[in-house]
Amino acid sequence: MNEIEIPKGKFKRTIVSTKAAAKVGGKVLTYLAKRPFLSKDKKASAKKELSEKSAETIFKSLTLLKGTALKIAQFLSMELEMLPETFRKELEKSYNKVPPLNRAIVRKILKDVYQENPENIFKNFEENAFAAASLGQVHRAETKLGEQIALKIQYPGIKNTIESDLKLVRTVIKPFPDYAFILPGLDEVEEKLIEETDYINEGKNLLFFKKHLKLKSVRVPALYDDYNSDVVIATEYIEGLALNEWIKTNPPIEAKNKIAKILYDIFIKSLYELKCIHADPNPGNFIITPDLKIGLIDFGCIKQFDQAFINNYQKLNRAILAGKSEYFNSLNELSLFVNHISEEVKNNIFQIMHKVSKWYSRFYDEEWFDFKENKDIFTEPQKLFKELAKYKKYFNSQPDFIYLDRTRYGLYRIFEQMQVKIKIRNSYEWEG
Amino acid sequence: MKISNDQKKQNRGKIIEIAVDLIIEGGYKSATMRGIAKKAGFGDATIYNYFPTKESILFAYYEDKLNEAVEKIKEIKNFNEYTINEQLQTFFHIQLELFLPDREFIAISFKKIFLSINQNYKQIKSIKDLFRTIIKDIFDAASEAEEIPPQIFEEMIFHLIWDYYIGLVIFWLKDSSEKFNETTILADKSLDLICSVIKAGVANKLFDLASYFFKNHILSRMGTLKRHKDTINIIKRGFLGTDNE
Repeated sequence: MNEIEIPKGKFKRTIVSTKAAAKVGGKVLTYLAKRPFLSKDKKASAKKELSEKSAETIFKSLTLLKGTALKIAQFLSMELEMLPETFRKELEKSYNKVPPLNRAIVRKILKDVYQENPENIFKNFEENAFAAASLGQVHRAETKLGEQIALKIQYPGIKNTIESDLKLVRTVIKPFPDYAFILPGLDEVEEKLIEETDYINEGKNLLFFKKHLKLKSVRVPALYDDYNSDVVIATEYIEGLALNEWIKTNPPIEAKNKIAKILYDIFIKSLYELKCIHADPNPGNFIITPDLKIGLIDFGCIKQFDQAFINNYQKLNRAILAGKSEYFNSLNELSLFVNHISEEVKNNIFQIMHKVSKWYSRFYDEEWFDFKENKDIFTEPQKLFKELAKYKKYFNSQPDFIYLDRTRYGLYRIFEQMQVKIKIRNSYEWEG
Repeated sequence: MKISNDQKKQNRGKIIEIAVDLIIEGGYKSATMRGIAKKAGFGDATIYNYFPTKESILFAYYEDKLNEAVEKIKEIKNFNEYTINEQLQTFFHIQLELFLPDREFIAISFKKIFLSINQNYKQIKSIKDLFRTIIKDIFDAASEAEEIPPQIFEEMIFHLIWDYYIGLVIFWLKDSSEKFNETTILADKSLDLICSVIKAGVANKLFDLASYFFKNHILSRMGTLKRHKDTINIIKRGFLGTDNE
């Protein structure tokens, strides 16, 4: 077997994590032990090597844990550097692939929720799941009235797992030089994950999007409240293929362009009008219907922004695209930096940021951006973010910014995979 | 007065129900046969037609619950498609679900009955036999479907699963998590492990290994032993205290 085995039991989880802690810890110790005998330069390079090596170790261990830990890893990767390639691959593999719940547990959960066996509640209930969700799995069912529904069932005790996983991760990263920087982000991740386990809340999110996201080619499924609880959520079943599956069928480029446009419309409209985005750009969350519309599902992870943040973000975008020096002021307004920075450091950061903005404006250079013709588009930011990472102690941790970037970046990676041609310019960000 | 079998069955059920209630309310000791009879509306002596002792009511309760679990399993349409792991898990979940309304009674009586080495051996045996039949059915089906290899130490495995069942119920009694999730997860993880061991035929392989050792190392040493026949005989004599072979 080529794939790395996924530890399932809690016990093994602990072992894997402590393994990571021991490995990282061990390296930090070597670093500390070495320190007195090193010259200043060597100290710096030793420290750098340490942080790169241990980042790798952490990613390896976290990807072994999957599930919640994977989400944390996903988040950390944003903080430490822009998605290492191997890790990104692991992430892709994890889409829709969580070890399934067996039928005995499915029955038990439904019995707990409905006080009845599933066959007495539904006209039809498929005991085998047809898709995995982030913290559970989805079953097809037919109500007694003949409605086709998708029933998402949560793994029992997942809340505790999240808490213990995060405790582990906090322990694992403690020896890190960047500990203090990562910590607020982790709190945010934990909060989001716990929120994601509350299906009642997810139902509310869904209704919010159903009411406000009025786009012609987007379908937000109906909610079947009678069957919902905090661990089970019933929504309309949308016929179609998940985006990643759909891409595999080699659809014509026109179809792909159309789908990409809808995806982008969803993002832009949610951000600037709803001030609330679907923050989980996992291809499994987009169902492509036979008539080329998108069924938007899984509202567990959404992110709301306040008006001030949106204004600043919009300003930042416009400044970048106009190539104006205001750009730096906008960065300051997002309070992205800590207060006391020497002029020299400031200059260095701004120079890199300038390159970042140059790269970013490439998407807007022409009316249409063709991902097929810009195959190199994602090589540059990786380098730039690595450079920026050197200065990360001067940055404030900005969960809002990270969620937004993660979603946007995730979307662009999907476009890259689809090789589409799309209008990135939009009326909110581009003053043509 | 002659009463029908149905009536008998109904009375028996009523007695058990009332005994459970009284034990929950006042503890095992304060529930008396007389008290149970009175509350059930029977004469003091009639109750003994059904149960010779108070303990036997407890045993009847557990036996009934096993039978009820079987009935519930029969209601599951495609139970036969379940894996052995899923079948065992479903069986345990259903059993715990049936115990749930009487959880306090279980807390009082379960350990008393199943953990004490007492004179009730015979009555426990009848519960255990019923349990064994259920588990054996599940195993036979799995083995017939070639999901698991035939098990050499079947009897030993049944004993282990019985002990596991007792352990699981005791864990459940102590479980204070929401919806007893801890028990669900424990059952899931542990049965996963147990079934993998069974599927891999670990017991069979251990037996193979043991017999290999026995044949190649013990039996082949028999020759050596023969050569030392005299020494052995001396030792033997010493033990038996006789001079004869």
